[in-house]
Amino acid sequence: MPQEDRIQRVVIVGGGTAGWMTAATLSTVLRKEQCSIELIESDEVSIVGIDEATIPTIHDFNKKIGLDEADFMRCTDATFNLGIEFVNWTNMGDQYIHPFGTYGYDMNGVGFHHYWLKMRELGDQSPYNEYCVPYVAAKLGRFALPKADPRSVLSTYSYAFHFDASLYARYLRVVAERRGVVRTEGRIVDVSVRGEDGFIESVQLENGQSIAGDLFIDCSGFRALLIEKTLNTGYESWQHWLPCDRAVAVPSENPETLDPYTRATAQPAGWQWRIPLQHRTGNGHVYSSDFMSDDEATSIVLNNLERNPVDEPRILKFIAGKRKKMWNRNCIAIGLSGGFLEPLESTSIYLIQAAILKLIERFPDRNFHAPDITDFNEQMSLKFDRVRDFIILHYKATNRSDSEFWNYCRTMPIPDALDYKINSFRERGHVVYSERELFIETNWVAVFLGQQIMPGAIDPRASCMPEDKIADGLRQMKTAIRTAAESLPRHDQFIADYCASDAPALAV
Amino acid sequence: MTETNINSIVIAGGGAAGATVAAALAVSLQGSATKIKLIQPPVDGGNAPCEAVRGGAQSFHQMLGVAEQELLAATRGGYGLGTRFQGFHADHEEIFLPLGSHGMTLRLIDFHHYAAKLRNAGASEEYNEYSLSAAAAGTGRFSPPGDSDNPASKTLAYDIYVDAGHYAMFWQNCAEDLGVEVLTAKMEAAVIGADRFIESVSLEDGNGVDGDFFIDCSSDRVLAGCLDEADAFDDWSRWLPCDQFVSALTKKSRQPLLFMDIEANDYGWVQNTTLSNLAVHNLACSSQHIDAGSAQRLLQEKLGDVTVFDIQTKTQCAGNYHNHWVNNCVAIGPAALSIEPMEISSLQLVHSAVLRLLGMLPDEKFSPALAQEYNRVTNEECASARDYIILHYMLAGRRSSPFWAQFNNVTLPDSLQARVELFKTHGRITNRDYEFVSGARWASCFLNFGAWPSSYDPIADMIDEKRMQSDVSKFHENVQQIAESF
Repeated sequence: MPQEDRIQRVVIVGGGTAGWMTAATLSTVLRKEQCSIELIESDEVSIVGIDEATIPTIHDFNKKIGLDEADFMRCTDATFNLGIEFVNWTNMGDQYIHPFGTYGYDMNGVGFHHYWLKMRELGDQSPYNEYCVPYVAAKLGRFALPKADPRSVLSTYSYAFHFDASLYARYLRVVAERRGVVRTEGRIVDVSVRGEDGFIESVQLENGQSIAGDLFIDCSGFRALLIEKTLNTGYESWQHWLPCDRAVAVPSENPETLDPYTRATAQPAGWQWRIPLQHRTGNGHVYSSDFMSDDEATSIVLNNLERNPVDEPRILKFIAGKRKKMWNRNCIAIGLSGGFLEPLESTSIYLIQAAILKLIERFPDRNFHAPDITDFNEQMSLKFDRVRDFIILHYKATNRSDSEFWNYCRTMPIPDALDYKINSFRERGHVVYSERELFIETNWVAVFLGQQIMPGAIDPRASCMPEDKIADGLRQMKTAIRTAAESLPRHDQFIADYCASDAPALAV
Repeated sequence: MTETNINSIVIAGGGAAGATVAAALAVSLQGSATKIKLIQPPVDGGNAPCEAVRGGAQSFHQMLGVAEQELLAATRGGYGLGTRFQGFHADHEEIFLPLGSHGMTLRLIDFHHYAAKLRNAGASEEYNEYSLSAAAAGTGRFSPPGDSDNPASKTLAYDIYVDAGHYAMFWQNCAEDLGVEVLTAKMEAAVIGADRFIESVSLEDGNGVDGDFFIDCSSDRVLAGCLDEADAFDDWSRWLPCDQFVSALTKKSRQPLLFMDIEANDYGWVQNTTLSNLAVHNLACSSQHIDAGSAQRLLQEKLGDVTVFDIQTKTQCAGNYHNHWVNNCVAIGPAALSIEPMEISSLQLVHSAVLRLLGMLPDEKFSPALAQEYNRVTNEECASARDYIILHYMLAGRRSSPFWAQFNNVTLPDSLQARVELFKTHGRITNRDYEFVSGARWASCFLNFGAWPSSYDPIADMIDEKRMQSDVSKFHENVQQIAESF
C-alpha cells in the first residue's frame, strides 16, 4: 500500500477505560514506526469509571493484549465474578442468577431446559439454578478457575471480574505507554475540521498546542466531544424502553466475606447494584428521574448498604441510546460517546471491546472507504440493539405493580425483535438465535426462566426418554454439581492465594 | 403445559431428501409414540435417478450415528476436498476451490490480507498452497485425520460424494430399521381440511394416508403445491439462468478423484464425478440458448465412446418457495427450492433444514411462531447459498457466448452487491447470520477466481516483515509436509 494512503497518526481523545483499552489494543497491532498513537486526557476531567463488573468475553481482550491475569487483578483490586444475581425483579422476594455457565447437560441433542420444564410439570420443584455450577458455587461463596477437561463438571462454567475501572485504565496505560503510545495531558478547547469534507484535522489544547491526526477515536465519554459536539452525528434515544436516566454511586466497607457475584436488586424506580472488590464494595442505584427524586434515590441506596459508606454519594446522568453512526468521517466513537446502556448485564466493557476489535477488522486507510464504514456501523449498531433488548427483557417480564415505574415497564411496548423472541420462547421454549449476538441460548434461557416466562410447550423429542430416566439423570446432575461446587475453595481464600491486592480502601 | 405431541408424521418422498428426513426424524424420535410414514413413489423403469451429490457435513451423519466408512461403502462414494473449475476463464486456466480455509490469522488479521500483500510484493506461491485440502487434492492422497494442534491441519475440511440413489436407499433402510413404515405408491394430492391443514395424502390407487404433520420432499411439490399459502415463489432465474439439466450415468473412465470437476461450455457447464464403480455427468444449461434435444446431444458428444447406462433430462427454474413451512406442512429439498449444484448441493441444504426442523418440531398446536422462525432462518440461509453460487458466474472471465455474455448485465442481489463492494477494495469479509459457507470460503472464491482486492487490510503492513515471512513460510512447509504424510 502506498505510504501516503496509510493512516500515520491515530489520536485518541479521552483516557478513561475506553481510551486506554483502545490505546492498549491498537498499540499491540499497529507498528509505532509506521503509525503513531497519541492519547489526550485531562487531569481535570473526572473519569466515569467506578466499580465495574465484567462478563467472560473480557478474557479474549486481556489475552489479545497479553495481560497476566493475577497481576492485573492485584493491581485493580479485582475479585472474581460467576454471574449476576437478580433480586425482586419479577415479584418481590424473587431471586435468580444469570450465571457464566451452562445448565445441566443436553440429552439426545435436546436442550436441558426442556427436560427441566418437563420434570417441573411432573411436580419436581428443584430450581433451574441448582443445575448450574456457577450458581451453586456463587451462593456457597466458593471459587476456583474452571478445569479444561471437558469431562469434568468443573469445565461447565466461565468467570469474569469485578474491578476498579479507573485502576484498570491506569494498568492499561502502563501497557500502552510501554508499547509507545504517547500521552498528552491537556484540556481540548477547540477542534479544526477540513472545509471540503468535514473531516477532523486537529484538536487544540488549552495551552495552545495543536495535535493533528488522520484518525480520531472519540473516548471522551458522555461529552462526545468529537462525534457529537464537532460532527453533530445525532443520538438515538431509547429512554422509552429504558427509562432509567440517573445513577447515584457510593462505595462502602466490605462485609466479612466476598461474594463471587454481582447483585442487582430491583427498587421502586430502578435497581441497585452491589459489586464486591477486594477492599471495598461498590454500590449504586440506577433510577428514573421521572419517577423518583435524587434525594429519595440517594436515601434508598444509603439505607440499603450492608456496611458503612466510605465516600460521598455521586450522581451521574445519562440517556440510554446509541450514536446514530459510531463511525462518522474519520472519527470513531468508542465507549460512552458511542452509546450508553445501563450496567444491568455488565456489558459496558464488552461493548468497548467489540468496537475496538471491529475497528481492527475494518482498520481504514486515508481514503476511508465508505462500504467499510457502513459495515462497521451496521455491525456495531446491531450489537448495541441486541444487548439493549436483553436488558429491556428484565424490565418488561415483571408482575410488579407496586410503583408507577413498574406499571410503566410492565405495560410498555417493546422492540419488535424482542417481542418476537419472547413469543418464540413462550410458545415452545425455542430461543431465536443470531450468530452475531453476544448473548446465546443459555443466557436467554437463564433470564427467561429467571423472569418466569414459562413456555407453554417443550421440544417433543424430550418425550422420547422415559420419565424415570430423565428424573434419574437430573438427580445425578444436581448431586454432581453440588459436590463439585462444595469441593472448591472459598472465594476469599482463592483471592488471597492468587492475586491479593495491597491497595488500601479508596486508593483512587 | 400439557403434552399434545403429534401422533403421526407423513413424509412425501422421492429421492434422497425424503429418505434422509425419515431417518433423521426416526433417530430423533426413537422411544416416542409418534409414528412416521415415508411414501416413496415408484421409480420409472426401476432405475434410481442418476445424480452425484455432495453428501455434506460429518456432523449430520454423526448425529444419525452412522460411520462415514459405512456410508461410503453403501453409497459407492468417496471423499471430496473441493471443486476444480475448467474453462471459466477465457485463458483456460484451472481454478481449484478447496473446502476449509487458508493460512492462519496473524495479529488479528485474516490470512488472505497477507496473501494479497505477498502477491503485490511478487511472491510466487499460489493462494491454494496455504490450504491443506488443496494440497491433499493435488497429491491425490487423503484419509480423514485425527485432531491436531498444528495450525496447518486446521485449514482442512472435506465432504463426501455419494450416488444419490444408493444414499436414499441407505437412509430408507435405516429408517425402516427404526420403525418407519415405508409405502411405495404414487401420490396424487393433499386433502386439505377447512382449517387449511392437510388431513391426508391421496394415492393413485384410491387410498389415503392420514397424518398430523406432513413433510413434502417430493420433486413435484405434491403436498405443498396444494396449499395456496405456500405458492409464493422467489424467481432467481435472472441471476441463475440454468433451467435445463441433463444427467448421464456412465462407465467410469478414470479412478475417482478427491474433488468434483466442473467444466464450462458455451451453454453452461458439465460436472463430472467419478464414483467407485461408475461416473456421473451433469450438464446445466439454459433453455434460452439451447433446446433439450441439443443439450442431450451436447452431453453425449462430450462423453465420447464411453458406455452410457442411463441419460435423463429435467427442467427447473432456479428459485425458492419462501413459505417453506405452512400450517402442518413443511417443504424440504426439491419441494422447497431449486438451486443448481455449483459447489453446494441440494442435499447439503436438506441436511441443514432437517437439523433446524428437529430443533423446532411442533406439537398438535402447530404454533405459528415455530413456522415463522423456521422460514425466516431457512430463507436467509438459502439466499446466502444463492449468492455464493451467483458469485462464480460473476467472477468467471468467460463471456464468449450469449449464455456467458448475459452476466455482464446482471444486477446483483443487494446482499451480494454489498459483499462484493466490501471485498474489492480491502478484501473485507462481512459477517452475516445463517451463512451457508464460511467467510474463509468466500475469500477463497474471490481470490482463486482472480478477483484480488485492490488493496488489503492496512494492519498487514504494520507487522514485522521478517517474522511474518518466516511464519508464512513455516506454515507453507507444514501444509506440504502434512499433505505428503497422507
